[in-house]
Amino acid sequence: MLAELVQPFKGEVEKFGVVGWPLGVQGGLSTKLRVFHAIDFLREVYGDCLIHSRFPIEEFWQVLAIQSIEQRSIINDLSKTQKDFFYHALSVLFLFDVYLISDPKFLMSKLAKPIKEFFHLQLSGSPSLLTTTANDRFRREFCNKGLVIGAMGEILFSGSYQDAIEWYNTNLTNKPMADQDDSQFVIGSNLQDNVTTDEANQDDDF
Amino acid sequence: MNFLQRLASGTKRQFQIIFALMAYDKDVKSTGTFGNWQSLIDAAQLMAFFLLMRIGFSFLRGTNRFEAGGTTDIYFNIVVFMATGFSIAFLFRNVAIKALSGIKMKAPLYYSRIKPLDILLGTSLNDLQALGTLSFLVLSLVWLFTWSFRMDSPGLALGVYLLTNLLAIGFGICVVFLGKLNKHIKKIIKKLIQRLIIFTSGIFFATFEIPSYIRHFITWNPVLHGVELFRYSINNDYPIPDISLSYLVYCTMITLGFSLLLYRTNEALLLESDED
Repeated sequence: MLAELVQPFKGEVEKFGVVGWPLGVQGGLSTKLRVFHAIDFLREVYGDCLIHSRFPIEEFWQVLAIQSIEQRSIINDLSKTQKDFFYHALSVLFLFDVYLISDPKFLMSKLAKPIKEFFHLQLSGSPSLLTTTANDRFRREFCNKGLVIGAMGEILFSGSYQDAIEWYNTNLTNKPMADQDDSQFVIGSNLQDNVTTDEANQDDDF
Repeated sequence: MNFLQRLASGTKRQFQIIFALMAYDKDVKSTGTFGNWQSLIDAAQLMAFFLLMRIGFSFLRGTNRFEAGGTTDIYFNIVVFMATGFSIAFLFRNVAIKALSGIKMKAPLYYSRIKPLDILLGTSLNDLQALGTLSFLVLSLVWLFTWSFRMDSPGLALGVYLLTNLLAIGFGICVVFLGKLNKHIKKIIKKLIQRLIIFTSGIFFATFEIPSYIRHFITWNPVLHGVELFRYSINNDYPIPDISLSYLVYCTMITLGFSLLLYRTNEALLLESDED
């Protein structure tokens, strides 16, 4: 909802500051693009979020080079690991006011260590991070506040991270959250390009 | 930050986003067979088809193969005549159909700063650029071979180009909402754009060649005004009876203004692609 991929059931979402797209997802980038195309595109759209970024573009290229990702590589030709690495690095490149994380599995892997260092650097200022993950290791490393939300979106508890976990375990269920898997629903799946059909329509339908 | 500063930075960002989408659209196609030339080649193929058709008819008729035929010969070479008509009429057709069919390039909408209208404007600018480049190349080639450079009113030519683009965007968006009322209306309008509007847009004929008592049957079409004004901008001796720039401006402003009002309240409709 914060990333404006889902509309609220009622009312409006009010945002103060720039909310990034969910960290590490392909997002709106076509896999037909080259790596530098994708970066040029997002630099134009979110250029203001690069001004105070603590992840300089020169270092960004160096980080990508660790996984042998070149500027002219076509995204589709990258391996799955390279893609994950690229999408995560790209999300961390920009200094957003709010970062969103739904699945931190790759970020917590050894491969993503250089990205994670820069992510900590980005978060060292004023940005906030919002996550719904059940990954305990990630939560202990990155979270300091917890919010327990009810089925209708009402706030049941708000406080420190440890207190929120305890409140949840005491009041809602006996099963610790850390044992649950992250929800795997796909967001933004309706935002797929259909350019080929468009071109075919235009050419054939005269 | 005061209001003016916010307005300036907002406008600047809006332009940046539209140009970024323009580049995105081209970049996606650039990894294909023809690279960055893809958009130009698509337009060139259609233009070549129309030119060959027109020259073919002249040839079959037994008249001079390289002239426009009739009184049009006095003012234009057939290639220039056809290219000017094509570049304006097809600019309208491509952009209007793109708006009418709903946006196919949806992926950038993943980023909350990008709105459907931005994509429509970005891709329309690509059409504008491709057809503009193509007509410039064709005109330059003809001028080179015939050594007869002529461009009497370049400002008018540019103005007509931009007005046609805005007209197409406005018309396309208006029709999207009409089409929402009934799917068949949308289909009929799409066919009308494809055929009726193209054949009354003066690609193949000049308005002054049409007898005055039936001229009003075609001069309702603002695209015809665009085409004829574009030809006039190249050669100011070219007669344009019943054609006026003000009519084109009125039509553009009214359709665009109305479409933006509709867009403001029904933005989501642009995302509903039409796959027929």
